[in-house]
Amino acid sequence: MNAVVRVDNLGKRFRRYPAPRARSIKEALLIGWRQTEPTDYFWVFRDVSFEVPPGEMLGIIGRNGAGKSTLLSLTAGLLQADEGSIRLRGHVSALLDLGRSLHPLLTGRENIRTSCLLNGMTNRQVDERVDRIIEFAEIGEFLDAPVRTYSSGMKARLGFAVAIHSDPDILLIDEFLFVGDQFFQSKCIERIRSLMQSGTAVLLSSHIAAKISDHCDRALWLGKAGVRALGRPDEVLAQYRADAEVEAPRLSPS
Amino acid sequence: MASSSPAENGATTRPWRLAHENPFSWETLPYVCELFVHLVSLELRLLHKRSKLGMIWTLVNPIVQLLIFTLILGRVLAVEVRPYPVFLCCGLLCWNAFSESLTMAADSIVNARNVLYQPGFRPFMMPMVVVTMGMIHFVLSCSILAALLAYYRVPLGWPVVALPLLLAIQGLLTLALAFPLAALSVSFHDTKHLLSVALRFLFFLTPILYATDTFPPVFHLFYAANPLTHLVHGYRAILMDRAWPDWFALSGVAGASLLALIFGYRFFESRRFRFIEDVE
Repeated sequence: MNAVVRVDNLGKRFRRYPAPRARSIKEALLIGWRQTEPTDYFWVFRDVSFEVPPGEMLGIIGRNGAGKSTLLSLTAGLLQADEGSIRLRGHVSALLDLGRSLHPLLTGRENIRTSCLLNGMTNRQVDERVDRIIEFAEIGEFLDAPVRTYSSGMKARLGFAVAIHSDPDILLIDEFLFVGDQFFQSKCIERIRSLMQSGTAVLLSSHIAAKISDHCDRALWLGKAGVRALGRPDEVLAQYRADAEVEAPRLSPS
Repeated sequence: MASSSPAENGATTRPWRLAHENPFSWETLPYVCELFVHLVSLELRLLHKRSKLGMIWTLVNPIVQLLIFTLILGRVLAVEVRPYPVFLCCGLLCWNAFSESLTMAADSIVNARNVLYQPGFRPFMMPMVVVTMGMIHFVLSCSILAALLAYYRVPLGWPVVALPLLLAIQGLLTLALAFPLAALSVSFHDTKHLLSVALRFLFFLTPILYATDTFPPVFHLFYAANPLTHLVHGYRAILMDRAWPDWFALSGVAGASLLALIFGYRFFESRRFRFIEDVE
C-alpha cells in the first residue's frame, strides 16, 4: 500500500516506580540503587496497527488516558515503542506543544527562526518562508517584542504558523488545532486542507467527536489497551458515543 | 516557490525509517550543522539580552579570581614561580572553561525541557552547545592572558600554534564528561550539587595555584592520572617556556577522552527517551 505512516502491532508501556522512588544520587546510595529502577510496567496500548496514506487525515479519538498523545509522541519519535514499530516516510512536523518551545526572552522574529530550524527547515528555507509565517501568525507590531509579552493565543498562533509552513509529509496535531478565534481556526483548516491536497498525511487527536467527524477521512478509536474501532468517522463515532453512554451511568456517583 | 510540495517530492518513493530513529545521512548534515550553529548563536545572544554588559561579565569573574589568588598566594605565601599572575592565569582560565562547561552541561537537558517536544530537536546537541559556549568563553577570556603576557613582556614562540590543538583536546575531554552528566541530572536531581563538590576537590587537586615540580615523585603518579594536569602543563609550557607541550601525555589524554566520549554519548542516547518522562 502507498502509505507514509505504517504502524505494526505497536505497544507502549510506561514504567511504574516504587513508592519512594530515588530521585537523587544521595537517596539512591542510601536506599539502594534498586529504588531507581521501575518495579513494574503498565501498557497504555498494545497491538495497534494502521496505515495512513498521503493526503489523508486520520482522527484519533478516545477518552483521557487512552494514549492519544502517547501515540502522537511515538510517531514524532519522542518516545520509543516497546513492542512493534512505527515506520515513516518523509518529514514529520508536530503540533504537540503549541507555543511552549518559544523562548520568552527572544523576540517573535528570533523565535520563528529557532522553531523553524527545530521543525527541520534549513536557514535558506526559513528565509524564503519567514514572511508568509509572519503574515499567517498575525503577530503584527509584537513581532520584534520579546515573546514573554505575548498572550497565550499569540504564542499558539506562532507555533502553528511555523509547523504548518514546514511543508511536512506527515503532520501531527494534538487537540490544539482549534486555537485562536473562529477566523484563525478556519484559516488553519484551509491551510491544512491545501497541505493534504499536496500529499500531507495528518494525524489529529481529539476527545471531541465533532472535530473528528467534521474534518477526518477516517477515525481510530483508541480505548483501553488498544484499537477499539478503525474506519469511517461516522461509524466509529457512533460506536464511541454508544460506549460512552454505557460507561456514563457507571461513572456517575448515583 | 523554490521548495516543492510533498506530492512532488513523492514521499511514498522514499525509504521507510523507524519513527524514533534519526539516521545519520550526508543529506541532513548541513541541516544539523545549521541548527547547531543557530543554537550556539542563540546562547550568545541570550548572554547579551540578560545584561547590557553581556560578554564583559565573562571577564569579571576570572579577573577577580586572579586578583585574589595573586594577592594571597603570590604575595603572602610567595609561590616560587615568576611571573606568578601569568602562571596562575594559564591554569585558572583552563579550569574555568572546564568547570563552567560541566556545570552548565548538568543543566542543559533540564533547561531545554520546552524544546524536547520538537520532532527536529536532537537532545545530544545541548551538551555540545554548552561545551562550545564554554570554549568560546575560554577564548574570549584569553584576552586577559594576552594582556598579562604583554604586561610582563613574556615573548611568544612558535609553539603557540599548538594552542588550538590543546583547546580541541580540552573540548573533547569536557564533552566526554558533559554527556553522562546531562543525562544523569535529568533522573537525579542532586547531580549538580555532587558535581560542584567534586569540582571543588578537583580544583585543588589540579596544579592550578601551584606547581608540581617541588613535590616528591610519589605525587607525580597521582597528578599524571588527572587529565587536567597535562592540559594545564601544556598551556604553561607553550606560553611561559616557549616549549612544545608533552605530546605523549596529551595524546594519552586525547585517546582516553575519545574513548570516554564514545561511552558517554552511548549512555546519553540510551537514556534519551526517558528525558520527556523524567524532566519536571
